[in-house]
Amino acid sequence: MIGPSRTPQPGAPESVSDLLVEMDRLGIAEALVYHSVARWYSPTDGNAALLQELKGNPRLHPCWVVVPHHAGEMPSPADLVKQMLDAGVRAARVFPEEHFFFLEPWCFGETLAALAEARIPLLVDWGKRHWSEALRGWPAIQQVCEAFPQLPVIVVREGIAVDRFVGALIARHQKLFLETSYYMGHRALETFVGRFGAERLLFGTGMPLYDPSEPIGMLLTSGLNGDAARSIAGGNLRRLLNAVRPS
Amino acid sequence: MKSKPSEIEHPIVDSHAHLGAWGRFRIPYPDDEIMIQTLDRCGIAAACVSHNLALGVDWRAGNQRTLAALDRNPGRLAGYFVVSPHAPAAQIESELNHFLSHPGMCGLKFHTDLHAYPFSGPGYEPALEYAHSHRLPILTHGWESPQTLERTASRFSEARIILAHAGAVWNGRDEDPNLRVAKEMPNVWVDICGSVAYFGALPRLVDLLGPKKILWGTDCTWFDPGPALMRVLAAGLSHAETSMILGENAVAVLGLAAWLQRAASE
Repeated sequence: MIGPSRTPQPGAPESVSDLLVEMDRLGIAEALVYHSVARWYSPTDGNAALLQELKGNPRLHPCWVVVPHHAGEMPSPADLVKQMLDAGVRAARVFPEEHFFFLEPWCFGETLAALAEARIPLLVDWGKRHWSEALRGWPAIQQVCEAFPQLPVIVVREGIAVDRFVGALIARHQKLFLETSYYMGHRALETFVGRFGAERLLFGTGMPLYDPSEPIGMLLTSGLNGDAARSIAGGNLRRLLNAVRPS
Repeated sequence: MKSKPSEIEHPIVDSHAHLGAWGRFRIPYPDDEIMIQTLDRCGIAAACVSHNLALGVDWRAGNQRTLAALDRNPGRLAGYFVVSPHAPAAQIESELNHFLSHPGMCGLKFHTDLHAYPFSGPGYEPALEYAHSHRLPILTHGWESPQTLERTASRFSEARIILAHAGAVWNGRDEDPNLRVAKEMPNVWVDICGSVAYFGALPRLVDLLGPKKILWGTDCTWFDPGPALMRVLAAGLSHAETSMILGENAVAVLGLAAWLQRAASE
């Protein structure tokens, strides 16, 4: 995320230039970013600001924050996807709980269908702060993956408590992915890769709220071979972004 | 990154780790054999463990399992004796005398949440008295309030109280009265073991408390130690601060120097 924060962390990057400095320090080549204004003020204002601020930065890939169109605050799903593709935006992010809507097809289905048609990956953020919080959202994820099997769905900030059910979903839905910024159980990455392969995990940091060094440490000490680690570190996300269909 | 594990001359010691399964979720590698391999992979010399069975349903059987793991891994695993505040005082004293005579036992562990018992309740008094009279560390998950903590640390002034997770859950921004107590009381420390790490919080914590008040822990085998290790190594701390946090402080506070030295010479 770029942009001002309601609760700025000490030393955390808010601008593009500060984020690039931090990425250089940590050895991160590229990042998918959304704008704080899109999350905490207005999706459309924030998405526009994102394009302005990322202009000319090939290392930072824009990700729009999306809400349902029924209330008239977003374009129709077809227009939304066209605007995204025309602007070079190849990923969307939703905060269903924070933005008071339902991810399920009865509420968000038209947007999901349009994103699926274009193969635009959808990052789902339930706003979880701790692994012990209730298992919010997973029945909705199951419904979405079932209804839109071509839609890449990336669930972010999930922790150690998902292993008893996530395998069933991963095995069932080939376009379901986990982002790794909080997936830090003992040998969790190699255990997951051993069961499902390395293609379903995407490296993420949760910057600027969370410390990016932790998911880096998780990957570097995981014992995964170079191919698997490279896939998780960036190859899988690049593949998804490159699979987005042009308008 | 200012320091790499291989550049830390002092042995890296994980002051907060666990063995055993857990009912609420799956721990894929709960036992000491794989844990030791994980420690080796991360360059961690030793870990101080309490057993999840003791924290959960059976404190006596769990502590026995800790002891068995220490015997299997001399010089690599040190143990916390988990105190059940629900047990009779005489039984706690008897068990303390038995378990703490083991050379690998480094201290006591309280878990006020899992045992659903207040830190200031009478069930913890025998253990606090024991720790005070034997100058032992207590790693406590839960202490009721900063006021209770301050009173307890004053009254049992020879006990070394380590506040589990206190340095990890802090977001680096808000005032935390628990940290004030840790800063002011000579026998209180914090550990930075925890699953959530906020951006920039660790350097702030070092500024606030000074590096000697901070112990490093991982919660392995709940969590992988790799993230916790990288959090310290990439925090931009000085080499001396990194060394203190990753090992020197644990060895000093938990009294591990002779144990480590003996293991190294064998």
